[in-house]
Amino acid sequence: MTSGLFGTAVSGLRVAKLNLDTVGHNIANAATEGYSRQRVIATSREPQITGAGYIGQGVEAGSINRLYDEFLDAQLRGSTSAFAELDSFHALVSQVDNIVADPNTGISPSLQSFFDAIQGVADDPTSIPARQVLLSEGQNLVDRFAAIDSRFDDFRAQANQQLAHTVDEINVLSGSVAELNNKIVVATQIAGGKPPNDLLDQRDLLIRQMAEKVDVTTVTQDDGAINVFIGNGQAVVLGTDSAALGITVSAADPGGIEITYTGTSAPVIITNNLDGGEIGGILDFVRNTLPSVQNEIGRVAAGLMLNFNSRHQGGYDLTGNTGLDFFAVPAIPVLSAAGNTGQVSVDYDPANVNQLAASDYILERTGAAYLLTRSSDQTQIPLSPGFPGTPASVDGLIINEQVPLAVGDRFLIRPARDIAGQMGLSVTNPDQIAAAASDTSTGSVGDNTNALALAALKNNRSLVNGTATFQDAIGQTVAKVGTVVHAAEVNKTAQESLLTQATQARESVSGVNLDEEAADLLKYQQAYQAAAQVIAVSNTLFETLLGAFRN
Amino acid sequence: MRITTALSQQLGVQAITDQQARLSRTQLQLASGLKITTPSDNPVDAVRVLDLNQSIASTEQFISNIDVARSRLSLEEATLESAIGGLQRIRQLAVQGANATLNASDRASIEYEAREILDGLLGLSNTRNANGEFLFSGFHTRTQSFTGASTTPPGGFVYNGDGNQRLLQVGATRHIADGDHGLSVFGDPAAGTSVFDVVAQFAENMSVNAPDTNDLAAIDAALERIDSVRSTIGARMNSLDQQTGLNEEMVLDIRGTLSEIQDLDYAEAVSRMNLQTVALQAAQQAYIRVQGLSLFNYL
Repeated sequence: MTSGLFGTAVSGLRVAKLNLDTVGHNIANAATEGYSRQRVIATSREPQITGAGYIGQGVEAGSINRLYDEFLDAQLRGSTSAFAELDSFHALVSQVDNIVADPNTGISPSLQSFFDAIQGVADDPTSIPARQVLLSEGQNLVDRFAAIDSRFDDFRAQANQQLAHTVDEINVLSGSVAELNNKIVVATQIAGGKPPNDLLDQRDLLIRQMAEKVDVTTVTQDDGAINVFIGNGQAVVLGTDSAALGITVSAADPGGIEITYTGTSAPVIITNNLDGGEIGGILDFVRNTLPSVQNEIGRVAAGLMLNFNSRHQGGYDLTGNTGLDFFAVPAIPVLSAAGNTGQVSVDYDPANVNQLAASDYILERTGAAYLLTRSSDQTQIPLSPGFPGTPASVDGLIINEQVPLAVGDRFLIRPARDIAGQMGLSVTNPDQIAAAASDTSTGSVGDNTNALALAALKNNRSLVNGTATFQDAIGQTVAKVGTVVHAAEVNKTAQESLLTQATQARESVSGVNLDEEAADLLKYQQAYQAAAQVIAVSNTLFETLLGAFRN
Repeated sequence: MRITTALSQQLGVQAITDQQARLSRTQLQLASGLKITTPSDNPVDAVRVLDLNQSIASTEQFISNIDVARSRLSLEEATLESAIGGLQRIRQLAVQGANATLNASDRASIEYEAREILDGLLGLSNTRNANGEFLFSGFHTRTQSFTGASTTPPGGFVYNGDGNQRLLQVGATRHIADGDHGLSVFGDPAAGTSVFDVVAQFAENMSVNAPDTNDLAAIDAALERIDSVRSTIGARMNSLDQQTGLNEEMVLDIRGTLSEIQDLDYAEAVSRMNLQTVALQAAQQAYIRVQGLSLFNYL
């Protein structure tokens, strides 16, 4: 009987100690990221049959489990991914916010100074200083456009670098998850199916960190390993193996980069399949917002140069010559895909400048058809049957076939994107400014009529199909960027509160509450003390028995 | 809901950083004096600010164009004033020269004075502005307006300019001529002659002691033409004054609107900052109080 009591007491002591150890572990990890509080699952031992019936035999620890809800963890992972996407997008796009609109360094003030300088020439058409001022203001305007464009290029480079960095991080994380998979499978086997709680927590945390980089889906295997997939089913972790993501320069867009996936076969480009997380935010910025803003600024630059040039050419300069180009308009970049055998050239159509779109174009020959796709809205414009027999005139552009295109030939045309960065002045001498509308070789050097016409271009609705002045177009871009940033801010805040809710939900199940642990500490301390007392009592009982015999 | 230690700490810190972010935004507004610090604060207003600033700059340019026009018109007016003075003297001489009691030597001295005045008139017709441009050559501002001398016979005076007037932009849709070409001032379009021919003819008539009654009529006609040009200058100057008033009023109006859109309401911002300061302090104190609560304190 006493040995039964002794055994019962010792089992209580042991479980109390186990509980105290677990409480201690919980307290130690109260601030550990990703930790789930643990709990001893204790059950009473199988009772023993006696004449009086079943008598209890104490307690035993079944297992130590973590308090964990798979659903809440998945929810948190989803929220983390969504928040990281909006957060990284917002961080990138808010850099653009003030660039175009800045009262000191934006385009508007330079544009205004430029047109003021034209008024100065109109006031005094024969004044060399007034003409010199116009040249300087022209150069300032060109420099301002270039400075803003180079900021855009910087943002692109920075975003691409961030993308490459994120891909590296994903590779490290997927390697670690695969390694943990291995440890967990082995540890579970050794413990006869009992969970290695701390390893599981670590793995969940790593997967959550992966979700912060890019949207992931997971599938748990029977042996305890987790497979992680990205994009549309590319496995980055498969059991104890991980696959590497890579970065490669885009073949279609020399300024862009692509993300590749190397599984069991050759690397494939998966950029378009990726979504969510930091990568989703960066891609959204670098593929949508940035090109569209840069294209719009480029369109203002091209429209300004072309309109100004054609008006300037209609006048006479101070020395009796007809006007030259005022601005040096850069050639439109036509990027030929690898394997093309044909060649096209693209020029601005001075007669239809107002049709210029803020977009890239893809030209391809598909069988007999020649198809032009406007990237901004994915509109397809068939060029045949006229083209290539006659040059195609589309969206303020004239497309000429130089070398006959083969089926499958493909070209990227960028009439707007990089134009702002490549503007120049063609006129170098103040005499060359064509302020007069009448032939100055007859002596009419005081004629300011063409200067007035140049000044009037400021209020001409010469862009966006004749609906916007230069200033309007800049204003539209400012409003667009401002709205995008504002929306990103609002979305980010909304997603942040969802993330907080998901964190709270997970924490409420898995997190450590120190007050609770303190109470448990007391509880198990008391249990331990009580069990020890039972041993003492059991000892006394034994002594009593021994004493009876000694007498 | 079960609140865990880490989360309660995190929420406390987040409350503090949120308050700090709000405070820092208000601080930025107070430091810049602007409601909108980046376009995303209010995209619509940000664009209006750009547009209004443009309107102000354009209108100020018109005001400076008006100054240019005004100074040129003043110069022209003063020049025509002198020309009229000269012609009026010629008219007196013509009246005097027609007097039957005058002899050849009297008329010779009248001729002498008339040629002197003719020289002066030619000089006035070839007046240049501060930039060295001839006032009365139309667009040919570097070409001397009239050639001829006091001794040039009638019909020998040549106008070298053209018939254009230079316009300056003084308002969004308004242009005003900054001068008049020589033909309209000193010429007689109907007769194809000029005031110089008229005066030279008179001088010649005096030199041969043969006064002609037509001279007086021709001089009167020339005077009338110059005077009518002078009155159009006055009218243009009035228009310029009116336009200046309009432009200045417009700049003032736009500045008012601009201020409404972009300028900070300091009273509101300062009281907001006070409120936010209190909120931040409260968040900090709450954090300290809550974090101080632990069962371990009593173990």
